[in-house]
Amino acid sequence: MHSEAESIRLAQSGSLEAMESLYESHRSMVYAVALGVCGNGPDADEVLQETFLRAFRSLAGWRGEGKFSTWLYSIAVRTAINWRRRFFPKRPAPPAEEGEAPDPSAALMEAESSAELKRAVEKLPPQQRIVLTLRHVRGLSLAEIAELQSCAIGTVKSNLHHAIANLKDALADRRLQA
Amino acid sequence: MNDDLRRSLDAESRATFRDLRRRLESDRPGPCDALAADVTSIGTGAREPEAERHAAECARCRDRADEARDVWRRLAWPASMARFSGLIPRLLAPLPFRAGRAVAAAILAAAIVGALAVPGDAPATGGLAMRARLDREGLTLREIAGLGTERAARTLIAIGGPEADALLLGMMGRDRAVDSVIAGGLTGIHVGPMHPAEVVRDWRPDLLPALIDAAPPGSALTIVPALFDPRLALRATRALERLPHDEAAAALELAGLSATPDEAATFAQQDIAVPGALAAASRSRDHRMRCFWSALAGDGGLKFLLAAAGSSFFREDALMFLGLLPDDLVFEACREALGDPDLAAGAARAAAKLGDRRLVPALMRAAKSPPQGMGSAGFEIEEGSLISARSETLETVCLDAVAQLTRQ
Repeated sequence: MHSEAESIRLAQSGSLEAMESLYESHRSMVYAVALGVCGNGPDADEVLQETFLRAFRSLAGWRGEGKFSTWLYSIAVRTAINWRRRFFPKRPAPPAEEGEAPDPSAALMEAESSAELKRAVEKLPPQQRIVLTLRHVRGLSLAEIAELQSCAIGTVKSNLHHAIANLKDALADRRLQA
Repeated sequence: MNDDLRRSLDAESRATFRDLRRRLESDRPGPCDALAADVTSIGTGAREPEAERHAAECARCRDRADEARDVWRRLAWPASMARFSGLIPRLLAPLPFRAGRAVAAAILAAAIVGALAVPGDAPATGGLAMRARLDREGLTLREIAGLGTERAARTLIAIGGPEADALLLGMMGRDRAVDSVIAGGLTGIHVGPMHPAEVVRDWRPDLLPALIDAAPPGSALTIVPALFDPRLALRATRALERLPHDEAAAALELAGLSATPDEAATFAQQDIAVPGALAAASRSRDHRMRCFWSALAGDGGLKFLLAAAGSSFFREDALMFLGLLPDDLVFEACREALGDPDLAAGAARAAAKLGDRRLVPALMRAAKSPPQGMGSAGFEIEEGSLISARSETLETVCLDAVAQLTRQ
């Protein structure tokens, strides 16, 4: 088992084993970011692969300034936004709650007013969505998210607070309608 | 009676100020609002000790945290299906051919070959690079100099070059600390705060044009020699006009005392240099004659002749040379000079010699109210020990001239 610095050095020289180690270490973080921007699993997976592909191809030129995770995060955000810009306008509008595919991972959300919650998540600004997914999917601490995004911890808290407040409102609306 | 009636009709409001105050206080942001984001964070499982303590006491915030926890619990995401094994084929695959990239690569290769074959100018380094960067940011050297700070001075020193050096010289004289930095930068050694004229005189004569343009007080002595340089004479004249009159006059006199005949002749041709020309003319007969002949030729020579007519040492020659000039020219010059404290006495003598009665009113005005700068007691013409011990006031000189004109 290599340290991260060692893995980076080996990956720079083309070691697939080292690349896999880096992939496994940072996969969930990149996936959380991709999910935050794209909002669905298949697209997030594509973005995840594309992000690592770009990162490994340009790893030789990475000078080691700053943390690897921060560098990867910036690539992930850029890749996900580009992905969304390239493919999302061409796709049909998201289906209504009744027409959701029977995705097993969405079963819980479906059971408990998932449609409203999912749509409310999709309506969140990307920055709030990314914070939400990094915290929920990846389980990063607020301080870790702040470090990744190179911002103050208060900004992270504020984004998270607003994201959850919006989701709470969406659920409250549903209860009212019911 | 009225009170009983009002009470019976139940016309009085039951809303008290206490009710209003309660509502006002509930609108005001309290500790709950300040900790709202932290309380939400608790709902997501984060450790927020202060918010936790507050939530233990505040039911509203406990509810908030529970609501956040509820949302958090309901959130669910699809799991990632992407595996590293799926990435390997793409990692190992050659990059797809893209025509645009091929063209760009070809252009880049051609540019590199061209650059190697034809070596261009060396890349800008140091000050040039800094200047290029500032240019890109739209910041001129003049704007930097205008800041007048030590940092601005150090930036200009780092940039270097004639323009930066000239601006540095112009920055001097406002702050001793900045002066010290600039003096060090311009002289190349640590010399402490210096006067800009001193820097130019002793270290950087190439910056004389910049000193002339800046013309700080105390620089007249260094600027005066520039009157002899045809390229700088006009700028030096303007600089001396901007400097305090006494300082410029003293510097010119000092320069006149050591002037060569050629320099004396140059002084005599320039309005501003009359004190220098008078001092130079007193050095020798050769100096004096060069001054007078030069004054006849130069545009500013009339002022020298009128000033010389005010001194008994030069008067005879001055009046003779004035006699060589057209009467109309001398008449106009006299009328104007009677209002000038340095020339009024000579102008009165010249007026008497000219014999033009039209000058009587101007002479009477000068006698009654001497030009400003002569003092309330009147101007005393210093004859000095060379000619005589007599001294006259402008009033007596003017009245004598009036008497001569009216007798004619």
